[in-house]
Amino acid sequence: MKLLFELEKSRPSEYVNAFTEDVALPDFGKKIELELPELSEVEVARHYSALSRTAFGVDDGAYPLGSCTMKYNPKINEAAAALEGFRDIHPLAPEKDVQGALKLMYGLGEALKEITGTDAISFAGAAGAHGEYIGLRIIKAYHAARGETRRKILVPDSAHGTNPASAAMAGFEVVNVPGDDSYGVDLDALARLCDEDVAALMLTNPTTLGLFEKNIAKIAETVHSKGGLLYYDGANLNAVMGVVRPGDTGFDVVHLNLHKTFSTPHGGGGPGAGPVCVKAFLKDYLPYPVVVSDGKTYKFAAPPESIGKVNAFYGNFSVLVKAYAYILALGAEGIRQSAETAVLNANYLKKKLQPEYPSAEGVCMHEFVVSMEKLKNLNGVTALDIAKAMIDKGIHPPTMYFPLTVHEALMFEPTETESKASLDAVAEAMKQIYSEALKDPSAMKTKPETTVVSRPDEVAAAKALKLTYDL
Amino acid sequence: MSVYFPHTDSDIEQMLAFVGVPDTDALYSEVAPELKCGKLSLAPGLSESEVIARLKALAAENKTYNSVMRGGGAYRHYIPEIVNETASKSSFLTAYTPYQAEMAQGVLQAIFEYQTYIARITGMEVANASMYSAANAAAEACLQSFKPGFKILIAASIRPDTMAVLRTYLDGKNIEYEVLAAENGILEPETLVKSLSPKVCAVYAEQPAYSGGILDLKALTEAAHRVGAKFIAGGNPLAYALLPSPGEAGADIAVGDVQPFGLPTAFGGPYAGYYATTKAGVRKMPGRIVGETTDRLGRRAFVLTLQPREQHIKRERALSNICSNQALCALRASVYLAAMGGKGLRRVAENCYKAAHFALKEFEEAGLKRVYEADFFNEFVTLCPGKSDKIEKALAENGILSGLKLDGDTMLWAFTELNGAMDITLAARIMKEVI
Amino acid sequence: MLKLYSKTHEWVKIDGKIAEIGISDFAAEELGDVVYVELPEVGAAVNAGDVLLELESVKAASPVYSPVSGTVVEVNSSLEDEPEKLSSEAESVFICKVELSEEPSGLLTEEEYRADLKK
Repeated sequence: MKLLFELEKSRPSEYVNAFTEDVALPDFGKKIELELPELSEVEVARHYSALSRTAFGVDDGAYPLGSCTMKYNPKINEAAAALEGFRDIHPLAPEKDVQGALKLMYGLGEALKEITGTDAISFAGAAGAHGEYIGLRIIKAYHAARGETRRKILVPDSAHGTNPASAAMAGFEVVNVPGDDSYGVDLDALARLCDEDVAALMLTNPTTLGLFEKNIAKIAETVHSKGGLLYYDGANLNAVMGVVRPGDTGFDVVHLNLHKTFSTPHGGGGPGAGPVCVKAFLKDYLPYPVVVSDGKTYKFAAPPESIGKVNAFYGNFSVLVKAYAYILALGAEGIRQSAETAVLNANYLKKKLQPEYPSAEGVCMHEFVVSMEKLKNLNGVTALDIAKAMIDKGIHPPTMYFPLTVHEALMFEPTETESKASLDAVAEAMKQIYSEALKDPSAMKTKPETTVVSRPDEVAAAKALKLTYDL
Repeated sequence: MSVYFPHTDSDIEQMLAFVGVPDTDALYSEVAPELKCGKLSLAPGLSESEVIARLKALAAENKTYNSVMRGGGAYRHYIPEIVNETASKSSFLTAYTPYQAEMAQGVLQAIFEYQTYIARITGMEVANASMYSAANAAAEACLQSFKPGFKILIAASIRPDTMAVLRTYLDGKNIEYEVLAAENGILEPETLVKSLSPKVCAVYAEQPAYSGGILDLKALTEAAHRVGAKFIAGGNPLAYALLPSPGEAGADIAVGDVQPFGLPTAFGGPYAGYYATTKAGVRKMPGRIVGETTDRLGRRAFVLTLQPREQHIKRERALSNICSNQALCALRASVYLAAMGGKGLRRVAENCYKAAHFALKEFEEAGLKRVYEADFFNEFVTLCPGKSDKIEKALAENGILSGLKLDGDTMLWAFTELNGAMDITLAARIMKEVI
Repeated sequence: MLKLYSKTHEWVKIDGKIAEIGISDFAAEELGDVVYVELPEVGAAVNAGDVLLELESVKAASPVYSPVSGTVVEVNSSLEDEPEKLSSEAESVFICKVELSEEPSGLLTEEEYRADLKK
């Protein structure tokens, strides 16, 4: 497909008339004139229409992408965010002009505090990793206020890569905690690693293996007994919302991914939203501004010991509108049922995929990990090959090669919005792929066959580095 | 309650039976009963019509204006409808990050085109797929440019929100920085030269300044380079349709926000930070990057590249923790730029400049005083002692969102192509009465 | 010239005070296609066991540890354009040279290293 920069020049629509008054433009000393393609609106429309046909969203088919919670994004949420009263308000407008927006943020905050079992919230985080950074800075500030400089953050070896990266960015040293045989945190190792220099342990629960960390109470006790805090990475909250509240299980700081759990669309990589919820004893450290209310009016305020500002304005407001619409629609019952259905779907698909796609025994939460190691050892067909074959079946591949603790991993998360029929179809396709892989392993290396490209040369991309049309 | 899971009761029964559990509770057998919460204290779910009614009521509690003369980092420009339409195509809207290149060529190509647009507009060689906001992009640029034992110089004339975010991020890493005075509302090259030393690793300034004033980017960059420091140019990318770009000025990194390119003001977000640099700086550029390559049959293909810099591979040794970015906002910017074209963009920028300068003239006649001498792009600061509140109120009564009150005496005004001469004249007339 | 190996799969050729450092063919095999070599800075001081530099393949970034202590005096800048040489000729292509500040210790002979790999 041609790039915009390769299209024939056509006459652009003139969206803007020239300013009517005569104002002279000085010579600004610009020597290199800006050159952009000149295209008529119809050319632009066709270009993007064609591009969208080679993209794949949740509306296009099953998307069992582990740890990403690719659930359906209800259309009403988009309509809500597009309301003029939300879309066309200025972030620096007087507070009396934006009471509806502040009230929405306040209301969403109340709901998320209830869902997570926490006491205060900040919406500044633009994404999960940003939320992690904020949460860790809060933890740092808390220890500093107590006259302690704790340098270490404990991270399980199965954690999302953002956990250690955020800890490093917040100025901490990362210490990995090994997993035990059942992929939970190794309690002995934890006890050994926990000392007065540990600021916090970061944990996802369910873990990235899709298993509920059943020792959570003991873990919390171990960390807290040494004065450390417990950080909840909310990436997997979809399994337990309405069933277990992180705050009730000992977590002090929680970040949420509204673009996962609360159905706001991923947009091809963003924008998301990563609100941070904390227990009462940490609320003074939240980044500013936070929304406060006297019951009648709403305003922004700065917490007294705030870690500072972490985003240009107040976070990704439109995303908050969508998440709020979702929570209003579901209500208390719907939230719990969504989690239960997500877990049911995962268990159903997990069992449907056996024995070809082996995974840990017992029930899983909202996701599960299969290992293709046996197949690879048998005939060289890898997790990657299986994933690429799924594309030909119209299914988005699962997350590959994560968590790092499982070899040849494929991580499935069907989410609650996938119907039984869809799960059956996925399982059927997977069985077909498996038998094809046994029959003709070499044919698996050229999949997918039906897409506009197949197996791009990533080595060449990384070496030649063509990153723009002009470079 | 609205329901988004498609199962019938009979589906659920069959699925439970297949899994081999009596009910969904049994799926949570690993969860100790005392850890479970009771029923959440949330309202019952609403029907879709009730949801939208509730949100419409909230939206109606916000005041929108026919005419907006406020900027300070968020600008109300005309957005061609094709931008909204394209960004709502569900294959873009509901897609994940394009890790599976074969299934995401549309998203990848759109990002590659975005990177090209940003590179051309900033005059830099490469750009990434987007950051959270201008402020976050600036913070990342400073972190990446820092060298132990050195310090960073920051112009006081930058946006206050960027300044606040920089303080948070730099303090968090114990990085030394010094804020350089804003004389005449901008960073003057002489001010910079006085503070430069071989111990400075980077300089950050914004074009235009928060006051709207235009900086001499070239002189600033040259001064920084003389002591071996990197120059990071923040700024409003629309201004570069008229002004020399950071690349033309020789800057090492260009950051800012694409909000003026087709993104509604939407109470501050989502927008998208851009980050562009030289080819030599590419390995220190955080965030996702799309590159061109060929597939196994020799066809052109786009992929996420240079991934080892990123958190999912390098973990605590990654350049940055950024994972999700603002991809859909970047797409909006690309569609906007594609629809506008170079000439269209230049006209928008010219109109911004002209409207602002026309407004200054009208406002001066109405009795406001210009605070800074430096020429400006589309924003300027006025002085009218003790009258800021009155001006804001009087204009609001006429459907005009005034300039931003910096204090009781001074206001920061912003103009775009949506501010016609008649609006401006009306605002001036109203203010004349107030003053 | 004496060629020794570290347990972390680097080789070192020692000529008087100067040590050439590279990676073993085993390490190269494990890494896959090297697409980028993050060369250390000339003048940098290193201790044995420190991360000396990083090698990037498409989906991994792997540290190379310094087998010796000293100061980096030369880097093989041809690797900037041809990182693939590390994949194809690992045992003969040096990455950098270090001027030793102390006698190396704890290194293996080629024979010991190869035997260690088989374990």
